[in-house]
This record gives sequence, structure tokens and C-alpha cells, in this order.
Amino acid sequence: MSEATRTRPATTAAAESPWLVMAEQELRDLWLSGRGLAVMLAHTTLLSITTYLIATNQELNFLEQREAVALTVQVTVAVGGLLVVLVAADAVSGERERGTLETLLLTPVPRRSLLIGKGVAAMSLWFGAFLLALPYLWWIGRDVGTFGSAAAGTFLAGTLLALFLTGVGLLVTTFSQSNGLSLALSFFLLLGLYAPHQLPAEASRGWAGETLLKLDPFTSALLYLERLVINAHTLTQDLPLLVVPALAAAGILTLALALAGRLSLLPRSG
Amino acid sequence: MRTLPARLGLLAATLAALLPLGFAGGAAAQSEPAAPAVEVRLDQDAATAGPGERISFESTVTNASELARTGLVAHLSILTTDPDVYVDPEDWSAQRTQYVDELAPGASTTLTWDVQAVTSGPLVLFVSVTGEAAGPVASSGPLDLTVGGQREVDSGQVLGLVLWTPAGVLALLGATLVRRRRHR
Repeated sequence: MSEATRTRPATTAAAESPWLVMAEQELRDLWLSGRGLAVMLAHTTLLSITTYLIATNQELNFLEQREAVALTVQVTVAVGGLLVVLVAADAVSGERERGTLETLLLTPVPRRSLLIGKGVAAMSLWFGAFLLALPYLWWIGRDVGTFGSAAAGTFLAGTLLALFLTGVGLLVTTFSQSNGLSLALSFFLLLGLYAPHQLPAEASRGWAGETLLKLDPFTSALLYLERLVINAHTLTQDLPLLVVPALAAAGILTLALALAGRLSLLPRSG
Repeated sequence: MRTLPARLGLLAATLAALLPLGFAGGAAAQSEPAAPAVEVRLDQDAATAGPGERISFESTVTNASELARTGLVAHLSILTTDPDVYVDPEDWSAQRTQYVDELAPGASTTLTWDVQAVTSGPLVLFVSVTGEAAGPVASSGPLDLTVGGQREVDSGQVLGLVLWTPAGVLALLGATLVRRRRHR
């Protein structure tokens, strides 16, 4: 949070819950400073390049239309997740490194509310990324009637993954001495969770491979989306695949908020 | 003393006598392989599917010999007769090789194959079976698969979408930054 926005009194939410005050301040800081819109610009530029190539490039246009929709869904979820985890990973360690955490801790806001407010701001990037992906999903899938299910499924699975990544970022940033460490660790965790989905099919055979894929929230959620979009399954047909992402999100967020009381200026002393 | 034609004739006769023992003998053995000890049959010979659709079929492997067979390997091949269609079998099926541990004389086993149609076109699928030591290969008859109805993204009006959406976000970003500067 910048100094400029922190000094602004939170008038509308002041009488409400402390986390609402924090959330309002963080959302203002993220979106009115232009940072949120700048990453949304990068997101739409990437989606535009992908969509243009899908539509015009001979090498990519062999894709069946449902596969093209699935590709756009995957890009949206991956980029949205990346944005969420990077902002969440900056939440506390960034304040700590910029020397603004002390001021923040002196405010009469519970530390758990601080983290919730910052988590809400991080999640808003996912919702922004999702909303901006809708025109692309509609345009690519308009002839095969996949827009409704693809949009609903992306919102459902993507929100669970974004919640999970918010928890990962908040947990890491709370206990990171430096912002660089927090960002690097969160980024590599994201890559590590995304990697099993990219493994060749042969690698998923055997009990170890199958267990890994079942326990990885990313693989489960992306498999749900693939079946929804490519195989035209219904929204509820593969809901069990979302159990792992939901449990992972609930677990990591609970852990992050439970440990919020240990948030301090110097993580080593906490 | 023999004349040159007579010598050449003798040489040719000698070579003709020797060849069956060496090269010709090997060639003869290769051109007449042992009869396949197994038979492979598919449960269907034609099918149709839409892009992305999954189909399943079975192959029956029968040990036609009088000896028990072990270590048989069955492999699914997927190819197209259309030179303009690209087929990567890995995209079509993650499991294209299956193993049969033991098959008694006259016994049969059924293998199930799952395939996802990826691209449109006329395709031929067949299953081949061989032993561990790469002996004779027995192949099934073909399964003619027709995948139709592929829909590709229409490129019309794409420029409007890919230019105007980022432009809208850019305009919003510019307005936000101007507003922020004025409030300082």
C-alpha cells in the first residue's frame, strides 16, 4: 500500500468490519494507481495475440473450435493465477521491504483483517482477468455453443485456483524476510503445481503418477475444464474433480489466516 | 583348355550352387516367414466420430499355435489415407501398446483400446501383435474411422476484437493515470 492511499480515510467502510476497510484501501491502491489496469492490459494483449494466431495462423488454426476455446480458458486461468500469486506474495514482504509495514501494524486493524484485505485485492485481479477474457471466449466459441459452459466452468474452477494461490502467496509473504524471496518462492510453487498437468500421458501411469495428478489442484481443475469444453460434459458431471482444488483452497487460506497473528516486522523474530 | 564362355558358365554354376547356402538362403528364409502363431481380430470394421469424441473398440488376440505364448506385445497403429491430414498417434491415444503375459494354445484374450478423435479425415486403425523377440507380426483387419464435422475458428472480424479490447483497457488506464495526476 502506498503512502498516498494509506493516509486517505476510509469513509464508507470505516464503520464496518476492519477487513472491509482494508479491502477498500487495497482495492483503491491496486486499481486507482493503475497497477491493476497495467497488468490487465498485458493480459488482454496476450489474449489478443493468442486469439489472432488461432484465427489466422495456419499452424494453429488446425485446432478444432472446442480445443481453441479450451486453449483460451487455460491461458486465462494460468495468467489470472500468476497475477494473483504475484500480488499476494508482495502483500506483506513488499510492505516490509518498503518500510511501510510498521505504519500498517500500528493501525487498529487486526492482523487477520490486514491479510484478508490484501487477499481480496489479489483476488480482484483474477475477477478482472476473467471478465476481460469473456469477449474472447464468446468470439472463439460462438459457433459451437460452448460460451455459457466455458464461462461458468472457468469462473468456478478459476476462482478455486485463485483462492488457493492467494493463500499460498499470503502464507509465503507473511514469513519472508525479503520481497524477492517471497515472489520467487511463490512463483516456483506456481510452476511446480502447474507442471504435472504438462507431463506426457505416459508419466501419469502407475500409482505414483495417478496420485500426483489427483492431489494436484491445478491438474484436477484443468482436467475439469478440458472435459467441460472439449468433451462437452455438463457443469456438474465432473464436479468431483474440483474437490481437491476446493479443499486445497480452504486449507491453505485457513492456515494463512490462522498464522496471521505471527505477522511482524521481522519474520525471523515472529 | 576351357574357353572364356565355358569358364563363365562354370563360375555361374558354382555361384548358383553356393547362393542357397548363403545370401539366397537367407533371402528365401525371409521371404517365407513362419506362419503367425497368433491371430488378431477387431470387434468392428468401421466407425464414425466427431472431433473430440472418444470411441472404444476391442481386439481379440488368439494363440493359434500349439505352444503357450508369453510376452506378446500388441500395438495400435493410427494412420490416414489423406496426405493433407496430419496424424500424431500420441494425440489420439495415450496408451497404444499393451502386453499379454501368457496365452495358452488356442486361448484368446481381449484388449480394449480407447481413442479420441482429434482431427477430421479418413483414418485407418489396426492392431499388430508380435513376440518379445520380434518374431512374425500378426495384424488385424482395418477399422475404417471417419471423423467429420470439424469446425475451425472463423477469422472474420477478429481484428476488431483483438485490437479494441486492449485499446479499451489502455484508454481506461490512461484515464486513471490522468485522474491520479490531477488529484496530486
